Amino acid sequence: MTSRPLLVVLCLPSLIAIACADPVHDAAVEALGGEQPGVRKGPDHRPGQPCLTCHGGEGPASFQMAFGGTVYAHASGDAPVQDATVIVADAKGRTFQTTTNCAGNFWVPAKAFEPVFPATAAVMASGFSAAMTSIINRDGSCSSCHTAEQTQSSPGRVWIYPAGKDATPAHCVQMGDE
Amino acid sequence: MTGRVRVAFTLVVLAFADACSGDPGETRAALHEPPFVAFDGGGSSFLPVARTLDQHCGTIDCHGQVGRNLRLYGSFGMRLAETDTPGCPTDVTAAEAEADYWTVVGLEPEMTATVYAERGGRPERLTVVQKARGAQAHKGGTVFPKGSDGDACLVSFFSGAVDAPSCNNSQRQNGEIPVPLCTPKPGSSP
Repeated sequence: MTSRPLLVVLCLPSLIAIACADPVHDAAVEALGGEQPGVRKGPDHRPGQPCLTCHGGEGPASFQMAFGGTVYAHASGDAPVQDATVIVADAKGRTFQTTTNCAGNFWVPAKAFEPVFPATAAVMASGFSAAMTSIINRDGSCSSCHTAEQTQSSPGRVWIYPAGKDATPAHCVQMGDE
Repeated sequence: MTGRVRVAFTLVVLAFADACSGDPGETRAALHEPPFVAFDGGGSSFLPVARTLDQHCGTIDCHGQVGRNLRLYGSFGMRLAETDTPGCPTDVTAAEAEADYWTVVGLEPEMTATVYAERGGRPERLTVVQKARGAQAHKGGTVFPKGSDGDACLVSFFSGAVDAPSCNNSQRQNGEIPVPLCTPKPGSSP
């Protein structure tokens, strides 16, 4: 093989990779930043972040979710609620129920539940419950809309307890705890 | 440049300048938008449509956010007033209905005016109708199938006579909407 065809063969995969890249998605992933110190990649990581940015099928995570989010005790603050029950229901009336972990994180595996939008969701814990007043039309990342602060564009976190009711302290096993 | 050429050059420049500086009121086609008038209750004729769009199109993950060209404000999505939050207040405000109105008529002003002038004839010429019906590529899919209450609501607006019953029927009813978990911020809309 002469040098020119060889060059083409070598460059082709790079060109294809560049053509297939989605700079918007790449920027969204990068904007999430690195892992929290002491927290390994897995079910406890990145509470409060939009899960489907990475777990929505475009990577980089291989495990895909239909929905994912974090339940907090209150609209402000970072206290998660462990063992909260989360129920999502789709337009066909099908439901999927799951439970939050020590980080307050929950997820609905895409393989287990393929929702038909619009969907809605409700959370229950310790005798308290909260249901979405709006509907989910397409984004399974709760934190895309439920950000840390209440603004014109966000109702605030997914939260469940009234003022005065504190969350039971939860502790996730971190690197170095084992 | 000789004196004669200089004069000719100046005249040509002035002629071009004059051609570009006509009175816009004389040269622009008049736009006839659907009526946006106050009606009983202090709201607007668009309010029933705005409520329907709010629920079906204006959620925060769709057109109720800054990333969408067809920007809709309302209770299910982004709020117009800085002091308001999604879900609180629980209804579309009058100011939001007006903003939504301008969003919709501003999408294709000329075609909107044409459809309105023809009393709502062939509304499928409008992108917003095509998208809602799923007749044109739309990330949200078919939101208002042709002939549905939502479709009747939207299309009626372009005829100049909002079909309020269809708009109401297309909205989730009070009993289906959970009690909002909202505490109005100081200074938020009533």
